[in-house]
Amino acid sequence: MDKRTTQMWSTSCALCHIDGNAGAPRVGDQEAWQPRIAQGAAVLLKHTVEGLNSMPPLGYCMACENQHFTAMIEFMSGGTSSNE
Amino acid sequence: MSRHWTRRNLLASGALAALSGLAGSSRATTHAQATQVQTTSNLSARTPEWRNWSGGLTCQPAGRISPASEAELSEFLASTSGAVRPVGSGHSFTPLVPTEGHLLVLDQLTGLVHSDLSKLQATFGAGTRLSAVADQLSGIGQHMLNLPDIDRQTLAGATATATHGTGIGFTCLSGFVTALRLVTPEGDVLDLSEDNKPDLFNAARVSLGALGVVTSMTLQNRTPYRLKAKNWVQPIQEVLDNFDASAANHRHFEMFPLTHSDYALTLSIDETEEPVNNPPASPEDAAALGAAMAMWSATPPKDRKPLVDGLAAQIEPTEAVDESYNILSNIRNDRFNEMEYSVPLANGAPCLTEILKTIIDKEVDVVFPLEYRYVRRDDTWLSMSSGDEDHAAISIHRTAGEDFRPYFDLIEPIFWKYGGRPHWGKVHSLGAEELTRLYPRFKDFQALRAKLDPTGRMLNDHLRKLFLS
Repeated sequence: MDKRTTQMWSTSCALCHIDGNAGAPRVGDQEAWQPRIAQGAAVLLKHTVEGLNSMPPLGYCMACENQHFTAMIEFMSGGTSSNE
Repeated sequence: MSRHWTRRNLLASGALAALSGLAGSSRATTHAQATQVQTTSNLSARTPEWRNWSGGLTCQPAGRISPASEAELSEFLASTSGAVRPVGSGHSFTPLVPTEGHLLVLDQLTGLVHSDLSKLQATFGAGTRLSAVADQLSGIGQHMLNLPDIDRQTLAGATATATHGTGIGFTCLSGFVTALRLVTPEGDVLDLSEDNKPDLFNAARVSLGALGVVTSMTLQNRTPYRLKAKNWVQPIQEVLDNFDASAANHRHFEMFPLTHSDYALTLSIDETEEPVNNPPASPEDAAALGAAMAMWSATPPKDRKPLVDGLAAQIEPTEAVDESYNILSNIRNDRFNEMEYSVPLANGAPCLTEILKTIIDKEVDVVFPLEYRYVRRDDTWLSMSSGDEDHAAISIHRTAGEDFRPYFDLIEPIFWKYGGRPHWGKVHSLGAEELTRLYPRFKDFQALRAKLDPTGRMLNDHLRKLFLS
């Protein structure tokens, strides 16, 4: 992730995805992320924007554009981790 | 066998989510703000749609502006004229945010800016989340005086809506603000405090984001402290009969009346020097509670009382000790919509009693407990407790996705009957005419708003209803 995306991630997604709060899949937990990745990137993005279960819409990132969410999902699920 | 069921289990576990799935399976999401509810996102849009925390409010903004500095924000506002709405964490259930203009996000105006160790004060960027404020204050030997149940909100959002915690000794968070900086709708930057433009300061501490954009604020804090929370179950009437004394004897005291029941979950919180002992909620107990509540929910409301009272009798008292911010706020796993009104203290017990009786008499199918607590008066213009008397705050909830309107519409007139003022971030249906009668300084706020924002660029439909007579 680039610097700005990392900053946004650290004040939003990280609130739950580091400790696994409220059942959130932890960063880098391949086993937890695999069934989610299998649904496809578009579904993951849709769930992020709309919210799902305990995760609020936009994952608390009010400044994020779709490309930021995509980069964050890739980072947390163990996909592409750096664009810089 | 008794279970180690707790308030935290009840309010924050998956039990209510599971329950809502059962109770709400035949209900459609038909909010009154239906025009603001969509079932699918417009993912092809350049900027994603905005939705609030509960998912019931949405809008498609023209764009998102996230200024990297106060100067950048000032320049943006001075050089543009279109509609803007500031957004915090999206925790409001009233449509304060929805706009077809630009969303202003303060996620780059965050963190500790300055601290005064002798006064125990600290200045933060207004986009800082309450949880981050607590963390960063700990690093400089300060704790916040009080916190709300949820600490994901930003300072700007929480104070703009007069968000509060519990305790007759504590004002809403806006009362802890000793100074702030406001960028007006035309881009001017103002330093405000009790000594510098006090009227504007007292208006801007609870502004609903209608006077401009607050970029930083200074908080009065205190030395670090540890708290001990005690949860227990007690008959509602017994708690009410002694509520004033309990509120006076504890740093924080509140209750969560169970619906269709004689019982309430009761919570007291006091300072302690005991070592930290705050084990996480047991998943087994939460699952057992979920199963018990599912049975409760599957029973018609008029037949529910024996089951609810039976469940309540099995809830064991619990205790937890931790740093102040870990006791005062907790994580909510289940999203919901909420209506909250504050009534003068003397009206609190009769108002709550009438609401609980109405839920029984009208056989309202609701399982979410109510919340009842006291909040101290303050000198802001628009907080729910502004003025010369303390208030009792009463909340009702519906799990997100359920149609909250029939329940909230039934209860809201009871709040009005007892002189209730609505929480700005929670569902209500009042407009300028009613609000003018409830707030002595409301017309002053309207005049100030019109002067600072003559074109109304900070207004959306909801704010026009509130502020334009």
